[in-house]
Amino acid sequence: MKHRIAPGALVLVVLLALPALLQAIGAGYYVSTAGRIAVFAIAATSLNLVLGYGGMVSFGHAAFVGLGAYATGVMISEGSTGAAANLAMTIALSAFAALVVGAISLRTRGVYFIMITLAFGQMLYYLANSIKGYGGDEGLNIRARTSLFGLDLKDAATFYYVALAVLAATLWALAAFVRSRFGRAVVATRDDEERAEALGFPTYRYRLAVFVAAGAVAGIAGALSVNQQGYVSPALLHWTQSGTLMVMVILGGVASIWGGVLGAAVLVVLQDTLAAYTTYWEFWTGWVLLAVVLFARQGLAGALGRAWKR
Amino acid sequence: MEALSAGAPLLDVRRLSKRFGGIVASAGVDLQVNEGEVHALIGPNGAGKTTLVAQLAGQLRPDSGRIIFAGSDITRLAPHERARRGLARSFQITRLFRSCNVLGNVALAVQAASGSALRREAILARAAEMLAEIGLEGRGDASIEALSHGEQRALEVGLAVAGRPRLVLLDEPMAGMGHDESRRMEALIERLRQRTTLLIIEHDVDAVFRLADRVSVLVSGSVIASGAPATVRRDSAVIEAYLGEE
Repeated sequence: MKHRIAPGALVLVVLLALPALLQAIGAGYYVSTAGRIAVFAIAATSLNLVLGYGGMVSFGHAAFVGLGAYATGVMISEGSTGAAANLAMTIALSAFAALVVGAISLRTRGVYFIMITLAFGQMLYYLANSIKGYGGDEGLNIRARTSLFGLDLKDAATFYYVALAVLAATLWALAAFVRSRFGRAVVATRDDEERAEALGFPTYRYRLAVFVAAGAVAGIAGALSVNQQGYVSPALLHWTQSGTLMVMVILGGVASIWGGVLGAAVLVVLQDTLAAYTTYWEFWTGWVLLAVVLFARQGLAGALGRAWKR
Repeated sequence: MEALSAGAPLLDVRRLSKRFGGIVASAGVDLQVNEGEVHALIGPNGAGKTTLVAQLAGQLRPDSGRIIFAGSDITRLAPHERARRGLARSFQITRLFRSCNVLGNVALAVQAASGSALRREAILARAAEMLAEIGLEGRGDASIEALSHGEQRALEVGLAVAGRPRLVLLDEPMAGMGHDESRRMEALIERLRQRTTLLIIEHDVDAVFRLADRVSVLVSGSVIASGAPATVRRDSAVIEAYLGEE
């Protein structure tokens, strides 16, 4: 048993000591990269809930991240920085949008579902572009931050720890979902929806509940993002962002608890590293994605799991 | 559960009609299934058997007509609502949950029917009982891919029965089976008749005449005869339309 606990504990220690470690080796700049990875990991994990466990290939997930960012960004720019108020508005807005989008999109299947979620995502993207009062297509800058227990979220290390705590809570909730009777029914619906419904599961309602919950978590990732960057722009809602989140999930491992985290970490590090050498970094990340899809069907999480069992 | 008035059938299908463009799949189907019986529905290919099952289970909406189950009108209910009222079905093409093992599949069926009434241990205990009943004891940990065709068919039926329904629609339970597998399925159906009412849609006419208390014959979207196997076998309309001269 002790062999099982050791690597998990090691990872935890490394994650907690990361800002200090990076400072020690003179790479303090990367603390904010670590924070960005944590935010992406939360967003990708929420997409993995929809895509991996729910079997719903949503191509508009970034819209909920963006809405969450705008909800918090607009509140802060209007002088309301209370954490509870910011969080409540973020969740309310992104969950409501997910409810409307999901209620309509979930009446379709397959490629139609992909297209309709993409269309809704782009509608929200153009909506964000048209809000002139809050930056329009130039985006919205905020000077203040959400006030959370008196913490200074402008400090990279502080922000990193807050994002890490939210990520941990997200992963814990996902693991609890997978073990729950609701989670089992949702995965069964992914396997065979008609059979699940014939057995007595209200599949439409279950899928919608998952879609809304994932939208709310994506919104929280957005609220964190605007607090880290001090900035939110319509680009955050663009369909290419939805594509990036999808790449993270596939890279990390579809329907794997750690898939979103691994995918976010690898893709962000890959992008930042390659971008230093070439402007065509997307070309090279494309090869990495291709290799993972071809040779590690369950993504990096699956490959790591197999290596660990050996 | 609603009480049935004495003598009323458990399932009462009245003038059920369904058309797809110019094709009439159900042309006013009348069908009564009594509580406790094994009722077989036979008919030639294209008679509308599959369409009828889909309408009874709720996957398809009829154009007109009514479906009364256990005394209440279920014509407009969604499939999951019918299942929760005790109307279960199996599928002609095996539909199982590939990301769970055999026991997990049956546990899902038990869970779906019981809602949040049962704890996990109770669900698994009931699922294990069900596995023994369908002859898959000891196979609970196996993956779906590891099962033989016959075992998959038994599990397909097991999922339909696991929720303790009042009526089970078995859609061609012997589809694609060899002689030995068919005999095993027949034995399974003989065991299941002790606990529930069965409506069996089947091609294998010999097996049907051995198993059924009553037989209904569907031809061109309507029931042309319904009664005891011996009576139906001698019915001139049935012989002409389906069974042929022997």
